[in-house]
Amino acid sequence: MIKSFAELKENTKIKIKDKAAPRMGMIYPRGGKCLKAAIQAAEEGYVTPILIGHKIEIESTARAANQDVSKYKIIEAENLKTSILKAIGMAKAGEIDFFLKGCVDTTEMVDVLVAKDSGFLTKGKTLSHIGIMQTERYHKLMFVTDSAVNAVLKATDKIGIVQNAAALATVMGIEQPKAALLAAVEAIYPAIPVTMEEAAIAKMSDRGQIKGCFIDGPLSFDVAINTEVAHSKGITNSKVAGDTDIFACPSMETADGVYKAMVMYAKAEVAGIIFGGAVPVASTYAVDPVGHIFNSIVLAAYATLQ
Amino acid sequence: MSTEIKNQPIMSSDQIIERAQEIARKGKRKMVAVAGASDVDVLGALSSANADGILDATLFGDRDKINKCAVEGDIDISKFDIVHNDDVSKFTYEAVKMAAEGNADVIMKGFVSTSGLLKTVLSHDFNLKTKNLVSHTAVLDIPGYFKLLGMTDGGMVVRPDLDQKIQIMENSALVFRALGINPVKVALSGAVDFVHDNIPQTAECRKVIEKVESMGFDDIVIQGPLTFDAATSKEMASLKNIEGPVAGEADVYLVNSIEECNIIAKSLINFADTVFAGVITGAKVPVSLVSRTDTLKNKKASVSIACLVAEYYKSSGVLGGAL
Repeated sequence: MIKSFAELKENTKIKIKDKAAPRMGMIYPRGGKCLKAAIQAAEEGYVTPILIGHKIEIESTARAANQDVSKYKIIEAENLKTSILKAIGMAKAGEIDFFLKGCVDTTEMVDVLVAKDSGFLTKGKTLSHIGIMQTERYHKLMFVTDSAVNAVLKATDKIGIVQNAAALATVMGIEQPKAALLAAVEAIYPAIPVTMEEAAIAKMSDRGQIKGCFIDGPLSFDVAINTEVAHSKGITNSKVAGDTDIFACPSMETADGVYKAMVMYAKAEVAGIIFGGAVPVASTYAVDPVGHIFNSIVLAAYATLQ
Repeated sequence: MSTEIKNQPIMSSDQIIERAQEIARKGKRKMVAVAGASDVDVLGALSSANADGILDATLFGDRDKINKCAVEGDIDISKFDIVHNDDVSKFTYEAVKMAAEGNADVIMKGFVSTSGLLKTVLSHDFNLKTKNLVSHTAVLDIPGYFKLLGMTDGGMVVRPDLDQKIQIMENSALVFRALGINPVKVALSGAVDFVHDNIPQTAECRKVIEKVESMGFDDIVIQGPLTFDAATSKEMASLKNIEGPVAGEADVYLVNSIEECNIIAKSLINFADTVFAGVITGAKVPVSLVSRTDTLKNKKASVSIACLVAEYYKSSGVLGGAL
């Protein structure tokens, strides 16, 4: 079971040892930070990058960031949209194993990925973003979802985002990951629709309708992370409370706020990934330093090695 | 010694407590009416705040149960009057009445339900209701942010509509005026920093801003949608090319749902050493509440901020909701 980013890197190295490094299509490599992380990951043997974007712009970005891209293949794409569409085509043709979002706006990329004719979505599967966080204050990695893809969450989407996070956690060796459906309270109130929906999903989980993870909800954030608080609030027989792996937020704004709060103020170490599509997408935010982009690349590479 | 209280901007939770002490020292010590005082956490907070010279309190509830709680928690309540009644609706009524008659400045929730207490506060028997709904503001002292950040509403209004959002904003703006902040910079929360067709919350931001601007509030500046990073970090705002009067220096982060507020605030409290003070505004008297899981400092800051709001109402003549 992978418990830290150090272990993730170690395990990825071991898996790559006798194989070729996963091929990473870098979508529109704008921004020095992303290029730096990609080149570092290539130099350390985690990936073989293929840059998909405007060649002249890539070269000037590289010069400005003091990076050498001459060793890497560049596929010409005149704008972000064509860059993404080319990357999707290459992924489907088996030419690349995963994507890295360059330092471009996440929403702009997501819009292209989720378009009906993009070919990126998998029928019956939800696409969602997962932020994996490591902090000294919590005894395990936190999977915070979904801060980037699903702006309007219906019950099916909520189940989908939990299943995506559970699939990723399982890949990382966490068996039967524990998912908390977060709310403001842990009691179920008809006047608070989120609690009713979360309770219904938890019931589906109890009855074995959703497999591969334990789900409980509604749970407040402190109940999800702290067994004592859970007990003090009368939550005594939850398989999730106090030991949560997956923090499923009831709205995109919530997940985004938690992600930013954890990076900026809790100084958590983070990786970001969009999961559930044709291939994984390493995807972080402007707030993330190079190290977080690097973690995301390694995580996506690791996920493709299963 | 001057009895003037300087209304310099308050930037931290320590300053909230210090200002409340200063107000008390200058002869304006606040009286807190506690509805259902048989609550160890409430008594502990009040006793400690009293020892620090912040406030006085009158305890409404069952005398035996109150005394039992004091013994159980080893809390000195000798400085407080107890008004005995063992009927919850009666002692709640009596506590609110004390405030409505001007003999208490703050109403505090003890061992009673929040909804029951607020129903009494807003009942026609008392003239405490304003044109606004009542809402909760969590004032967060986040290490790494250069000022206090108000988040609202994580406790009362489940999913505010357009008008409710504006009322909630006014209620929080009052709290920040009481903290000496002028103008109050309000950021409307979003998962992205621009209006986007596929994200309904962002389209609503535009409507909120239009309405706020048409209402012509003095001393409120509003901007949104803003992500949490763009709202609270100038560095992030400039990195993302976001300009505007609120970006990077929000006083109030006005969010879309009770869950959003509660969950983000708790992530900061649990993982980023954030101290918080909470208060309910929107009635003519501030309502204070503390929770079992609060630290003593949180509790003290919470009762202190209610005292500051009460002082602001008195000194300005502005009563809750009448911004």
